[in-house]
Amino acid sequence: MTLLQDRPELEAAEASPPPAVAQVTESWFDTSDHKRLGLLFVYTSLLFLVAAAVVGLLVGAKDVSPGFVSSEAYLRLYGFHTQATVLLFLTAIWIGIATYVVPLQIGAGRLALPRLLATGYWSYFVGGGIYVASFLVGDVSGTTVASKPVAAVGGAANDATKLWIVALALISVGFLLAAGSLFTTVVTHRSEGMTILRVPAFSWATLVASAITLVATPVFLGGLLLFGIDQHFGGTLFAPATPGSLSIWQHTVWLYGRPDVFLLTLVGLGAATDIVTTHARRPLLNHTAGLGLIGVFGALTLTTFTAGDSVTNAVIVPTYTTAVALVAAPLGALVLLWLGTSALGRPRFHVSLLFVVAALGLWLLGAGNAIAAAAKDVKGFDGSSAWVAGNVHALVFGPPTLLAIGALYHWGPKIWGRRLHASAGALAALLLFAGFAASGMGYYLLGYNGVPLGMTGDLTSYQKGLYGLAEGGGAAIALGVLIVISDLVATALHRGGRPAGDDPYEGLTLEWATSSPPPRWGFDQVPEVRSEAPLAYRREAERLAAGGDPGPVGGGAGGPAAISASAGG
Amino acid sequence: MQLALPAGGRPTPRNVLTSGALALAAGATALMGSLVGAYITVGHLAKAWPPGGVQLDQYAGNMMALTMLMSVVTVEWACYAIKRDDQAQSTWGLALTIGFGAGFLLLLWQVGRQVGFGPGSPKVGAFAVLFFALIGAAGALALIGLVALILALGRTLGHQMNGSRHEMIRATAWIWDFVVLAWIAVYATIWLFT
Repeated sequence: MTLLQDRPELEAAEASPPPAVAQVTESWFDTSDHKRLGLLFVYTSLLFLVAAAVVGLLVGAKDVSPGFVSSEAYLRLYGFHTQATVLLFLTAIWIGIATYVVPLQIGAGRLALPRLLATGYWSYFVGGGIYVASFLVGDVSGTTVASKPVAAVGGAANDATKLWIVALALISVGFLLAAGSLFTTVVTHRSEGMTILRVPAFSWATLVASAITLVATPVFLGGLLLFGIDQHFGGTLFAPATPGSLSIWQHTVWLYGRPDVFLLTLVGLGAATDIVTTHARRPLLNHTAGLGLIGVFGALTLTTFTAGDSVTNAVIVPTYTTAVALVAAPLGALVLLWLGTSALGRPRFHVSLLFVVAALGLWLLGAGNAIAAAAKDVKGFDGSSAWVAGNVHALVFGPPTLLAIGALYHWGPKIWGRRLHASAGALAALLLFAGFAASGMGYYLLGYNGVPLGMTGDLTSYQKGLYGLAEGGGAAIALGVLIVISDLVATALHRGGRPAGDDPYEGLTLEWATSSPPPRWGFDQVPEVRSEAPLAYRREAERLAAGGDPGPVGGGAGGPAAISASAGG
Repeated sequence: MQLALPAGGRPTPRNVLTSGALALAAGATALMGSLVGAYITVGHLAKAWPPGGVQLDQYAGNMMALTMLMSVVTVEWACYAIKRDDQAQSTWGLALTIGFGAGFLLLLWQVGRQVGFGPGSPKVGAFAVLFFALIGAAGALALIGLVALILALGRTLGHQMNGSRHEMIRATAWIWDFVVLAWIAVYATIWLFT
């Protein structure tokens, strides 16, 4: 079979009108369009990010001025800041981006089980509202950031805590339903020729993360059910005297005892891989190896469940076991693949690459501190040390946030039909990196100094300076977030920015083969898929057919034949 | 017209409902697994498990397990029949499964009421929390499965299911199979091996 052939049946198909679905009109409230659902997730998550950032600033203000809020209020605010950032913002924005991009990347143009995902969004939305309300109506005693069980005070929980439990259950169910829909989409809706090993890295990472969410989030739901019954009916399971309760708590409720927290990075790795290959203008050196590394990263996150329940003398936190620490190996190998791909491709600067580089910087910062902490054999990294707050900012919040915003800058032209402003993106990347690094280092150094989380009295001037550094970092993060949101508002709502065109990057994957923004039905025509980079392949074939020289992906190692052969096509 | 790499086809996605049902069933299995794990962990470390004074109705437990096992037969019967375009037999299979499911839920409700302690009973302690979490989660899953069965029965009665279009019944059967599996795990944990 040659590359050039007549397909008369397709000419007939070209003449046919768009699918009937084009005539369907839906409001934002009852939509099953993956693009609208994706945007709903993205916009809502950004609203919650603003709330989390404001509360984060209050937490920082308490660190600098001890009398600003009471110690009890500090722990509530810290819990809100952490949980809202991870659950309401980071997880949701990744679901939103995946919901928009994945059906396009695999040539489906629609979701499998879209009503399931829509139900998931509304469950998340209502749960998020109740979550915020729970902190407004009273003192929430529940938290997912405490490494030790939270026993019911006075035999029964207050209304705020019950609301908190219901809210987290609704949010988790929402994510579970969304994961079910995204998983099924990648498994069943791939276009012809797109074998599972030809799926773009971001779609693959979404598949892996969805699979892990499907088995990990129900464990959290189980923990919430136990916690809810325990809090409502008197508090016997999580009472300090109950043997085994610590283990149950740490593996079901505690945020850092579950694999979920790693999934934010996992999806970010997929997005970063697509960003790097698109702007290097060549496929990944070994696409199958890249997918394998992402899969290994995902599998290793499940080893958090095998960790013991000791909360002392562990490196960083109890669940940071040797097996979990091994996630650094696939991550490092993937970074090497990115570097090799960039070296052999024709890299071109794009602001989204800045976010990838910034995320790399934070990973290095976090890894360096993990090694330093292990080498110093510092005791007490049990979730109550300020060191953990540094790790949360440098590793848990920082890289996924940077990569999510980088993904918005990368896929923004497809989503809104216009380019986000590169200068605003660059400034935001710089501020966010500096903010997360300063915040992380401030707390890391406080931890090395033996300062527990939230302790603001009896501090030396050095320690006060470190709190100031961390708070300065928080302010930089808030400013970066403000710039990103302003840019999004200017571009998405006020039609600012330059028109992007359908394929502004000469992209490799199928989402660039449709209009920007895409029509309701996704594609007028889905290009044939014979490799992991179908558009590069097509572009090259057209160039060769026109008598041109081998182009960017070359006539040699990276050419169409090689691409096809490497993917088994 | 000559095309360089013309557009590929857009194959009709297959097994969407089945894949989605299996994905969510995996989640349900993880939920029950976490609760069973918690029950075993606390029970293993407790001095007496179940605590003194707890008398579980073995007969009710056995009957519920038997009811659920019979429902697997009837739901698979419904699948088998619809694949052969036998709507009448499929309708009977689904209706009987719904009957078994409803019976199971009633029995579960009775067991919860007559067990002799509440979720916060101080004498029973952690056992009470874990017991009600396990039977509550199993009951919630059965309720979801029952809703799916009723929807499938409605489609069958409306002649929307036939030999060439029966994926909804297959997917529903998968969901119900996992509901039964979840209950068998709970039954074995609480009634058989405690």
